[in-house]
Amino acid sequence: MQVTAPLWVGLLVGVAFGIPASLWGIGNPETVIRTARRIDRLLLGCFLLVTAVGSVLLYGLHALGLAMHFSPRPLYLVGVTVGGVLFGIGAAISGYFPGTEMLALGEGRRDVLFAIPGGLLGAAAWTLLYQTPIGKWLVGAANFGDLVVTGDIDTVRPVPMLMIAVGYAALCLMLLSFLPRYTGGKRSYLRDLATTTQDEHDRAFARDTAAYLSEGSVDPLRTGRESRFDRLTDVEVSSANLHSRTIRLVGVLVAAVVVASLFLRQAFGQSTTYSWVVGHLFAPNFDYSREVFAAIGWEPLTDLGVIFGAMLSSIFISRRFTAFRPVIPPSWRGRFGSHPGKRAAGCFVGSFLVLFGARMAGGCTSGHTLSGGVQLSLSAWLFTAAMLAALFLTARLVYRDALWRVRDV
Amino acid sequence: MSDRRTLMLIVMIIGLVLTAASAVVLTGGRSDGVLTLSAVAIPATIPAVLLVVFTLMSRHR
Repeated sequence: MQVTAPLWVGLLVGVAFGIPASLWGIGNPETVIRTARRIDRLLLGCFLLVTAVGSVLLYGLHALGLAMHFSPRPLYLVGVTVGGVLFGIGAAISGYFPGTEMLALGEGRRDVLFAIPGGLLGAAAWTLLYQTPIGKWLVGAANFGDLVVTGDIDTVRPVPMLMIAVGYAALCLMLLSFLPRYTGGKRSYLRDLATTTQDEHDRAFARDTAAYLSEGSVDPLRTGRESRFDRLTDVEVSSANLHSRTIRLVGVLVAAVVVASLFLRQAFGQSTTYSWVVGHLFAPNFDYSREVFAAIGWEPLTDLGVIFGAMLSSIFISRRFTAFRPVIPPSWRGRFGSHPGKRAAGCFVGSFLVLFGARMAGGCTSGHTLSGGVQLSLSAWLFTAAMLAALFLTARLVYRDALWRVRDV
Repeated sequence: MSDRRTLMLIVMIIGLVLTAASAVVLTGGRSDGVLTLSAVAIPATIPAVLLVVFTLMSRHR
């Protein structure tokens, strides 16, 4: 059975992604910065959980006879690696990925208003570079095509691929079970799954996570009382247990959206929109813009849906809508102070590198890490490895040992 | 559920329906072909207006 959904359905796919992703708090740049500083491993847990669940779901449905719009990004070693490194450097500085910028916009975060123009300029810079022999070489050298773990995507055999996906998922879930969420945590959740109690170390980290996630939030509803979602967002999202109910539920929902996107039409991706906008507004006759125009699917509408979903989530569920008030992430405050100009510059420059790298690599954390990850794509693994290495190293160099707890900065 | 919450939820749902409806009309309900800038920019004005409205509502007590 082959389905190709209309373009406008991408809007609904974006909403379905934006609501749970915003609940996780990944629209808050401090979440990415804490991942980079290896203080909080929630994002790593997200990647493992979504790709584990998603790969089994994807190849399970494929084995049952459903046709998928498989579209792993091509594996060109130089461009994907260099792009991943630049992406990681920029994400550590700005605290934003292309997709989380859309979430942050829906949540009313002021600093993203500087990150998005930086991202557009980064996409424009790649459009210019692609016009040159260097740009062509970056994506042409050592290009092995659309490879997944068993070889070319066109030669995938459903049942063996499903078996590999099950093995991959088992490995990811085991890693997740041994991985304490917060730095210095001692608990192994494979051993302690039966209990949900946390020690004082974990409780302190969880309280601080809840504190930074709600920093600067306003309540346009002004109900003045707790909602039924408060426990879900304030206690479970910040839980030290990466197997906590909300974290698992969101992981399964995001995986389902990524797989649904592959079933309905195309891979879920969020950075192409930047190049598409730049191409339309400033560079319609450039080679890269023409390629983007020819290949674009529902990505811009998906991004619009993500903004909508994050707005819905932050106003009605998590109540983390910040109404574009000046909120500086605690790690940034601890290192550079509370000057909004410095933060704006950091967002602009960091996001420039993020989008320049993403377009060079042919995708971002959505297109490569999540969508490519569930397809068990080799370029997704290379991009993610390069991105994480650069993310950790840059955070070490930039933030050093700066304070990061909300009460300390 | 408070009146304010209900009202805002209704506004949000109407906004989403209008955004989707305008996207359907402007893309012609197609599943292929080229996506034009106006097919995205025009629907995008609705969440943009909602963001401004909710921001102003949050700031004015």
